[in-house]
Amino acid sequence: MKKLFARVLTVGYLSLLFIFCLPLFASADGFPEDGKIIRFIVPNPPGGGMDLYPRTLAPFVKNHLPWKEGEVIVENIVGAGGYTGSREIFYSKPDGYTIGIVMDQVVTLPPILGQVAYFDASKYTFFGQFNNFPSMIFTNSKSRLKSFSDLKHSKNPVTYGCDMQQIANYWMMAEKMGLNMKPILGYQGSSDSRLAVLRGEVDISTSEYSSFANYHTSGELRILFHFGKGPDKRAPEVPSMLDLGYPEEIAGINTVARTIVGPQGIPDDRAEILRKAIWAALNDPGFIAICEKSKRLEPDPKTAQEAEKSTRATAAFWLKHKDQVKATMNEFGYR
Amino acid sequence: MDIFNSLIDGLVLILQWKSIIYLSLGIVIGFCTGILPGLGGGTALALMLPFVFRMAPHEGIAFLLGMHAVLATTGELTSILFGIPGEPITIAMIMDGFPMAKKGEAGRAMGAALMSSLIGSFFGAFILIICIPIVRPLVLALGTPELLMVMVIGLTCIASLSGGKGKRNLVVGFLAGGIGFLFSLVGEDPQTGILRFTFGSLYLYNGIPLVPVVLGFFAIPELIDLRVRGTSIAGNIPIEGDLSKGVVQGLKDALRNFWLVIRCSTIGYGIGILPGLGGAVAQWVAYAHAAQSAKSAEERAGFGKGDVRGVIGPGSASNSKEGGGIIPTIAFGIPATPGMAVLMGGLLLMGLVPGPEMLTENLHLTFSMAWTIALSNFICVPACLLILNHLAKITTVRGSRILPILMVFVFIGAYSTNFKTGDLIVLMLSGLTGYFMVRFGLPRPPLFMGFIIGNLAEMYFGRSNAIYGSSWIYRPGVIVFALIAVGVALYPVLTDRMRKNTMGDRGGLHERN
Repeated sequence: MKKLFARVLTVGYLSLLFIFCLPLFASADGFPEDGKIIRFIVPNPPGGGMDLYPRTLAPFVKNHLPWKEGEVIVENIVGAGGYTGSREIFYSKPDGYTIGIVMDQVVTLPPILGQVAYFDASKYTFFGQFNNFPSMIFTNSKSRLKSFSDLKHSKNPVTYGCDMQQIANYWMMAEKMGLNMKPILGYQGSSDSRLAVLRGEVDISTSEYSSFANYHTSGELRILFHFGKGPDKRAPEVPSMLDLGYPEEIAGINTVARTIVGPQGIPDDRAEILRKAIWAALNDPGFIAICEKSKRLEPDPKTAQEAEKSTRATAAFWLKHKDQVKATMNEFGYR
Repeated sequence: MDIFNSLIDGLVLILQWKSIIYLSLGIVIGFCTGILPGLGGGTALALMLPFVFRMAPHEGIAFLLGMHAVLATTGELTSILFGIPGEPITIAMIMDGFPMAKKGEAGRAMGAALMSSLIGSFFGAFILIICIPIVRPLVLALGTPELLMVMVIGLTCIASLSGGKGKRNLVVGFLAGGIGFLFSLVGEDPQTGILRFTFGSLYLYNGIPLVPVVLGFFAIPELIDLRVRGTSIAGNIPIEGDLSKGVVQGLKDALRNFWLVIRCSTIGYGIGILPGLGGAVAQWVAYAHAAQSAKSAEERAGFGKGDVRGVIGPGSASNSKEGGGIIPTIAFGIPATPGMAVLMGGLLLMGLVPGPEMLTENLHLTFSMAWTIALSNFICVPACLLILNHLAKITTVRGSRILPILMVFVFIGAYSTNFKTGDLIVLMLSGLTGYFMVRFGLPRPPLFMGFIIGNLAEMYFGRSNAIYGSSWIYRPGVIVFALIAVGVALYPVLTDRMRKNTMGDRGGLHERN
């Protein structure tokens, strides 16, 4: 009787162990399961550019996944300037049911500087990129700064309206480009600092083109240069850092890259299914039509490999210059 | 003439049958969301965004803005009925609305709130229309130092929010305001990036979140009180049969205090057009102004205990603010509230980019927004009046029956802020603080005012100094706002003194007679 009991117990234990270990042996078979939900985490509040891209894309990803029914639901997990949600994506269960959008500058620089707990952003599972545009430096049309040359030869410090997340742009301009700059911190995002430029309160600010394009075309703002590697098709007359003679090593780092990622360690077969669906969704005529109608959403899709390469390059660059950026931040009182 | 044509075009767009259907749908969704305690309208609006992909801009505006415009109105009803803010922008309504409900005057309070909301929304839309040509240069003329002075005006309101009379209340009020100010400084320093009092927690990186604080501070003490009393919200006061009378009286109250409604609507609109100030400031400044307008210190002491003017003031401001809030949203892309941020996202999806063209070639669409605000409240308020009696009856239901439901909504409302355990911890800690403040007769509004103004004031102060050094003090706009701040601070003292002098003169006459 005792033996029988021991056998039943052993079989029971083994069965339980088998059930609990099943997810470890999970393969793409049946992924994604019918009726399941895929969370698309957005680390920013609803309404902004970072939210609108995934919100627009989600229905198309759903259509391109090999399931009969299921939902891709956008979930805003905000806080810490986008870092809370980015971290949530990184540490989510790597089963393919959690993906998200991150901004390269947010997930690479603060962890390296020790502003937030460190994690290696280059270890995300990459699915692609909505776009990767260079930050542009703009001024009020009535400003004394008519061109990059005025900016470069300005005797008075040029005031730069920014928030803590844009401090990398200040560092690049002041330390690597040798411009005479004075950062005015405390603006709440690019819209707020753009308003400060329109008011004439600060000389310059930086942002991605689509967020101020209408002010540029209306003639209220003038673009001085951008951090990219070559001409930007939306404003081809604007010189890039390379055009201005700065080394390639520092060009293309200060960009606004909206990257679609998942937690590290998603099984390859599942990741591949997601990559295919996301790539198809990014190139879906329906998605492109909505973006064209919006005039503000400008998808310029990049593959998972391209996304991974650019994020790795950004992370490596900031890791290399960590001490110099920290020294600059210490000038403002940051410890 | 162009402006007039755009105005008519805007109205025609909104009166198309499809727009009316979308508007009605938006109003229904907004009504249901607004009336549920603590569930912010921003979330509901975000969920609706995929539906506007294929809508024409004016239809999307009718749908989203119609929904957004009624959120504040219906949120006020929840604040009055349960002492729980339906929306974070309707907290000031609790101060006198809920005490009125406890006195069995829920119908009157809701009637006054709805009428003042209706007038406020009409006022906001009207001023939006007539100020279009001047409002953009005006906003551009107001820089960081001027915004700092608006914060100073807000801080001077603490005197009026301290409740009661006498120096003790004033000192306690300013102390509470100071504590609130300190709490607002938790999180990242905007000037240096230093993390203050976050204790290594990522949750506190952007400061203590507003919604759990609001719910804890104002809702939890009322729920505890309801449980301790063991009665219905209205106590044992028999109010059956008097409800409709109360509603009519409330409507009349708002009309009787018409100029107060207009003044508070002006405050709401004025604060609404200032980019980045948010909706919470407007209603508290309006509430403080309503309290200041009381003719005597005794009358002023009645505020917070169920004075109908304490309902009318914030009611008008929170709705006129919507008209003002459209300006920074569409002209500069800086939304006034989270709800406006989502609305802006919706506009972007429909191909409308915030910027100067919204006040030139797309002016008809901007006007259609003004019409939508007015029209949605014009539809919503009468609809609410039809069901007010039934809503007011909730205050007679035994507390033990509605308490569990309210608790669930309060906790869900707080948790939905960030979906973190921290939200619940903040809710309970601020609930405990709020409860003890009520218990020991300490005023909560100054603490809350300090909390919502603190980090903004710090940010504007840091920026002003960095840009202008100390010379910002001499800017004309700063001087004008400083004089207003002095006037606001001294107004109660001066009016009291003037009244005493007048009474003294009359007394003298009496004696001579």
